Amino acid sequence: MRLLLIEDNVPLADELSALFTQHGYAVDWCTDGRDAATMAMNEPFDVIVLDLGLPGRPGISVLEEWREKGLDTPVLILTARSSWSERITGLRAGADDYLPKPFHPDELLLRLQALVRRRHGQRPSPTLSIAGIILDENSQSAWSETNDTPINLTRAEFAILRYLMLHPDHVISKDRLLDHLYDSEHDRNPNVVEVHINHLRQKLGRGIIVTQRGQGYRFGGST
Amino acid sequence: MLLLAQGSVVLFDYASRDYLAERLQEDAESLVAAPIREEGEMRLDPLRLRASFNRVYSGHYFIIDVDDEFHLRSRSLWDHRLDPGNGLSDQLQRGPQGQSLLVWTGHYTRGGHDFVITTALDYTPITERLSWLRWCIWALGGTLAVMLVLVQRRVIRLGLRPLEKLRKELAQLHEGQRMTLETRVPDEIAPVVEELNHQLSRIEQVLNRSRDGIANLGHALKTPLAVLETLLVRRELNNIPEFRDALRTRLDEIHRLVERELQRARLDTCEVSPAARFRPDSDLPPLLDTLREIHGPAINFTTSVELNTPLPWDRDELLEVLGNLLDNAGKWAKSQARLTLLHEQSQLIMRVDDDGPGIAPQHREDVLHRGTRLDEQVAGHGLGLGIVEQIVTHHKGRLRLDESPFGGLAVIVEMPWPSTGE
Repeated sequence: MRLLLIEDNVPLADELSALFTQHGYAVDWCTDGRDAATMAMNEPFDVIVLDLGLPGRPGISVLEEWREKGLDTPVLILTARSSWSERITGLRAGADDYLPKPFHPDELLLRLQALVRRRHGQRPSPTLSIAGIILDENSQSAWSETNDTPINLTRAEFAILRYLMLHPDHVISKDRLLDHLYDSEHDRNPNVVEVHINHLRQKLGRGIIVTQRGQGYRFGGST
Repeated sequence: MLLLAQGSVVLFDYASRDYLAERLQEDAESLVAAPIREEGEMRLDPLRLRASFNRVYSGHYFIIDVDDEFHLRSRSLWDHRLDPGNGLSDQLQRGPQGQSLLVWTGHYTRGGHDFVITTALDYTPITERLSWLRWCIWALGGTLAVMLVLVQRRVIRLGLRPLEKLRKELAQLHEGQRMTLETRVPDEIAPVVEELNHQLSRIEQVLNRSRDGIANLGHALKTPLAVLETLLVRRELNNIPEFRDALRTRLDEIHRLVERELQRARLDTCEVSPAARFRPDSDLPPLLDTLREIHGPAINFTTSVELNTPLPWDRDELLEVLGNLLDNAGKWAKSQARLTLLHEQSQLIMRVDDDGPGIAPQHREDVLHRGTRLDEQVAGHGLGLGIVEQIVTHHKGRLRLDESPFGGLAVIVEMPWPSTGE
């Protein structure tokens, strides 16, 4: 899950990056509104966290530009401005959610989760349940309906499984998986993906991820 | 006035006495030649005298003493006595028939005889004229004084009219309806008004600067607060939960204080330009859209609004009140939240009903007075009701809780409608 964090306060951005990474997001961070405007158009982000008080260019105008150009990535506004009129302005400009600072990190994560789920037509809930496999995003563990013991996943495994489960009926190419799992500075090694998928198969059964030769991977459920 | 009247009469009296004394002296000098010695006696030749000396009580009199031996008197004196003095007598002597006499006495020597000649003149016509003159001066002066007073009053009133306007503007200033004085004032007080305006604009600048300062500080504080909040969820802190929770409580407290001061700074601005007024028809739908998005399809937000004209309150403030109240209702409601806006008995009534669990009557006071308790148990930092109360109190309104016909809580805000026609 790729996340674009646009925040000019370095300590907050550091903490948030760590928090998001911990919860299975691949985080790209930028501090300037002008950079953010082009970056979001060029990379396939799954969700954007946008601060409004940016140097270079106000967050609202960046957001408006994205929506004008047809970018439909969910955007969560993170801002010190907490009044309702400002919230309405933000949401009218095309934001999907609005969280005033300061916030509880858990709430931020829940809201992001809800945004991603809603985008994929899922009901927001703490667990993702598809075809007999249940994924708990908070504990980053998964189990099948038949066998109730949760199995802990590594961060990468969790991220791959979540992405596949959010697109249950799609064949996802290795490249697309890489695009959404690693930030732009990360070393993109396709072999690493294979290793993680093998680990997932060992933990949850061979059928959990189906390989479509030459095309990519597909979520297979608990068969 | 008194001085003028009395002074001019006295001066006139003095001048006429002086003049008449000269006349009397001339008379006396001409009378020196009047007595004629005849058969050892002194006699007067009536034909050589002026006619008025011979007419009884004519007003012109004389007596002549020759060598203290012969006493001659004018016929006009008849049987009245005249006391000789020396020179012009200081006092008027009483004459016949109520006359007041101006008397002059002179000593002469002629042909070996000493003459003491006393001439007198009826001064009454002059006195009468003088009192008439006095009366005239009084009347004229009185009229003049009244006219002067009237004119003066008018002049003062005209002159003070700019000051009266100034006073009204100062009153408006006091109520915060304006920030400068515009009255065109006479040159004499223009510098005062200019200085006042200058000071006012300085005060406004300082106020704005401090308001902006508070706002900037408040907003700037929020990011470090957010950093701290994020630090608090670090796994390492799970080992010392008391420490973590204490820190979190303090952070929430700081956050609450910051929000309160920010809101206060916002309220102090209090200049409602017509463009910034709350328009129910255009401002409510986006608010409701936002709320529906936040609370999802499970909660049905409805409105009953009878007001279509802009309301005389700031848009942001009313949005803040309604947003918080409806958001609270949305958090607690099972399926229904309704907003009612009414203009009733010169009050704006904002009522939000929900069908949630409600609050028992005995606990409602607590909720209101603690301000923030109501929404603390549901997600979020829960400053809503405190801010609502702050805004409502600022507009001299009232916030109360009641039972809703839906079964849940009804939050009712009543704000006095500002008097129109300002």
